[in-house]
Amino acid sequence: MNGLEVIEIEKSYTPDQPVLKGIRLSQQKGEVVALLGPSGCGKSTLLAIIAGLLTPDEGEVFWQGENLAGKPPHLRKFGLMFQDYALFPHMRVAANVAFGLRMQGASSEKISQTVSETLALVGLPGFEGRDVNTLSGGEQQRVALARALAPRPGLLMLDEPLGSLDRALRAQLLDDLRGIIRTTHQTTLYVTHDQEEAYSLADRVVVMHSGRVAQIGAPREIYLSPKSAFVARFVGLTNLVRGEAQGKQANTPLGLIPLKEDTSGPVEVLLRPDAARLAGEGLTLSGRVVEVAFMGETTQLQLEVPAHGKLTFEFPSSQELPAPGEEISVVLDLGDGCQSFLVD
Amino acid sequence: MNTGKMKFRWQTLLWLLPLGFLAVFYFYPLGSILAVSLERAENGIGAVILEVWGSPSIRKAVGFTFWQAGLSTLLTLMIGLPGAYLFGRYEFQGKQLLRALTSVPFVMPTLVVAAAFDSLLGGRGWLNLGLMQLFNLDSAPIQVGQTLTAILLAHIFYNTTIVIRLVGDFWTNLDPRLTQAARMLGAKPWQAWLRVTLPLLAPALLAAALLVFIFDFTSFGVILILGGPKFATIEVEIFYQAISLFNLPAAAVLASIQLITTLALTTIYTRLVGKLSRPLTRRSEQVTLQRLSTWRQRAMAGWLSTLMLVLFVTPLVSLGLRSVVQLEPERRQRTLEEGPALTGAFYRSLWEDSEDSMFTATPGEALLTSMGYAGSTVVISLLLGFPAAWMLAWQKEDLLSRVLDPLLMLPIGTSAVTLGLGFIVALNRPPLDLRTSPALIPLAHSLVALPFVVRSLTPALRTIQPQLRQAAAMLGANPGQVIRFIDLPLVGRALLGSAVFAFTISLGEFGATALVGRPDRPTVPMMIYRYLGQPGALNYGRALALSTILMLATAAGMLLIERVRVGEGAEF
Repeated sequence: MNGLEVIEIEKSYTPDQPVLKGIRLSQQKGEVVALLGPSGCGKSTLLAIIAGLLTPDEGEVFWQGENLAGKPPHLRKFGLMFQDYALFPHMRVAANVAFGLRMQGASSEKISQTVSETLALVGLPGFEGRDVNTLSGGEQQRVALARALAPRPGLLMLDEPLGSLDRALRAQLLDDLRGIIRTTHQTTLYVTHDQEEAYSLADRVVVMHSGRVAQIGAPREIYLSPKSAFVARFVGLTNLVRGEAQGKQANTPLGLIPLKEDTSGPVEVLLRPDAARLAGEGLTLSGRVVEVAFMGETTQLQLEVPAHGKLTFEFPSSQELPAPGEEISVVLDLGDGCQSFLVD
Repeated sequence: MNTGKMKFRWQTLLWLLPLGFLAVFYFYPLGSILAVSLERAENGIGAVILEVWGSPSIRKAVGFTFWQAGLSTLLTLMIGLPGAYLFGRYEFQGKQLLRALTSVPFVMPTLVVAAAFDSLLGGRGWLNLGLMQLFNLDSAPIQVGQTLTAILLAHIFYNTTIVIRLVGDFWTNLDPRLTQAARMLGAKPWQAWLRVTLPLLAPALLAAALLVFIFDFTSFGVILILGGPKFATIEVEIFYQAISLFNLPAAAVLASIQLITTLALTTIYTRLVGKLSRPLTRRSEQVTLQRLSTWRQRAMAGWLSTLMLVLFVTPLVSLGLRSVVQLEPERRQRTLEEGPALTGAFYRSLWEDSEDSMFTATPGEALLTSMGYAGSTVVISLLLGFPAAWMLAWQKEDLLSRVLDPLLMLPIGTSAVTLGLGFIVALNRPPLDLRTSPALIPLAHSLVALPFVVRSLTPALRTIQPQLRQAAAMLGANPGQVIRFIDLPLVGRALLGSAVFAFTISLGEFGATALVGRPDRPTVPMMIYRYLGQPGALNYGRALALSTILMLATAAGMLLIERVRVGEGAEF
């Protein structure tokens, strides 16, 4: 095994409230993995355990086949970029970035060369002499990244690195971050609650839900076939209709809906947002248009359907679309059936 | 739980040291002053008040104290507000430097400021001697020294920076879109100012005015030297009553008036500072600051900067220059033989025993004495301040901390002269008979320095978040290296900064020293005060030389503090 292996990690701060329940994941060298989940799902705790800042109650962490149990953080050779950066306020930019190399005992020529290379890599060439207390949020973020990257960590961990920045800056930094991680082939574990960040950076995404791994897969896989109603909702698929499944179809307030797989019992059926057409053959839904949101290539219509409630569908923006308040009918093109999730 | 109890005891212990110190050296002396005032109240408290009010000199002193403080505050606001506007709304070249310059006067010892104004405007100052030389006059043509004007000028010099800092910083974070919104809704510029900007600034303005008033109200050294015998405030009157007339009960009554007034004002000030943190969205400087673009803005900035430079720099430069220039004839000469000349004689004479000196100590010895006191002050105030700051930094929400935090700040609002009087009244009899102990001065200085030490240590200690240690560990630092590279440098800098602060405060302290200082072992400020009151060019020169040394030492200290500061500035 040449990467990270996390086996059955359990952790709780108070006896009756476990934070992590049997976490299991693995990461190849050079792979970029995103830990995605809403706040409070335990992802930062998991990160701290991998880093060695916290000890798990149960389970083990392996790096390149070695069990890291009992190994203190400073010997793990991992890099961690903190959520609010934790730049050393009494050191200039250069000393912050050089810190890890100094701890390795690198020569001063090597240190100053690596520092200026790394600062150039993160887009801050010539910032060596700056006082970290005078940097803008985006600059601090880049210095923190440079500091984590400079010692060439085996595993780079980023804890919500873009969390405290404004939207425009985030998009820019996300772009740069992807470039830097790709060009350095850096093995990276990226913690975020933002699915767009996770999708655009990661080879694989680990979706976490209240202390458990809900699903692991490539971004496309997770979006196209979520494994649970939670994952579906979390990635923005909100058209979930309750019903009773019998074999390959489910009886719902909207009528009989064909299912992809044989199931039986109470389910939530997922209607994909791109399934609706304004005309054609198939399951017909009638409702009032509540909202029309232009998204660029597509436009979202929110329908109030009497038997169920609100459903959101996307249509190509090129076609003529109804206005809010209009009563319309849409036809669902359900292909080879809908995904469904058993309700427990 | 068991650990919870242990923790509580540990915290209480940390508080014990600074609290015990305050109890013995702050509350006990002040209580003694009040007790002495009330001892005379056998016929009821009204008799005391009537007796005090019956004395014309005391009535005059109380009236003058309020009058000069009010007038000084008004003038300080008038000079400071345009400055606050300039700093709060504009970005321009040299702003940092100008900002640093405006804060120089604030940290200067009162005697340095008094000596500086005397060297500029006094009877033996540049202006008068220059005019006398120019027009061949026999006496000083401008009588600014020993007038209200001199006092007012020195107070403006001292306190303008408070207005610029408090109001200017508040202005910097005030969203300009609020004013813009008012303008969009049809308000004329002056209407927007009156209805939006002014009400929003009001708490900051009021707080600044009150703080300036408190400082002017308790001003001592400036008035003693620049006002002369004609202008006595409550502070000066306490000094005369206690030291010259040795009428401790009268001094105690005056000090009680002083105490009650400053306590009331400080309470109002604290309330206002609380109100300052009203939920306004604070905007970053990139949004609120604009460059000087029109010629009117440039002219305004140029005029204000020049005014500030003249006000803040001239007196200090005048002091430094006057201390190395021979302008007056020596005692036995009628006129200067070769006109004004550069001289190092004043500095050289500091280590000589002059035959006409009325002191047992030379100025050089006074310098050593002052440094000794300052060193002891550093040790005492850090020993007391560090545990208190540690508690405030880490147990901020703790009930004990919330109660004790304002208690630690009390000495700031108490006049140093009153503190000194309290020492005389309380500590000269058993169980604490320290009247002749050399420890009295550093103890008094530590009391003055303690609030500042706590206020500058606390935010620095707070910057040491556990995250920084974790970050260092993640970068490969072992526990020893974490202490060496993270904890020690951060705490060390904070300690060094606070030590320098305490040292400079002690070096320049005059109010308490004037009351508890021992005549046979004078400090530098005591020496300056005595020399300024004596005739002779050499004595005057020595006073200015000592003041210049004190000024440079203070400036060097402040520069050092600025260099080692980490994170946010001190909290006030």
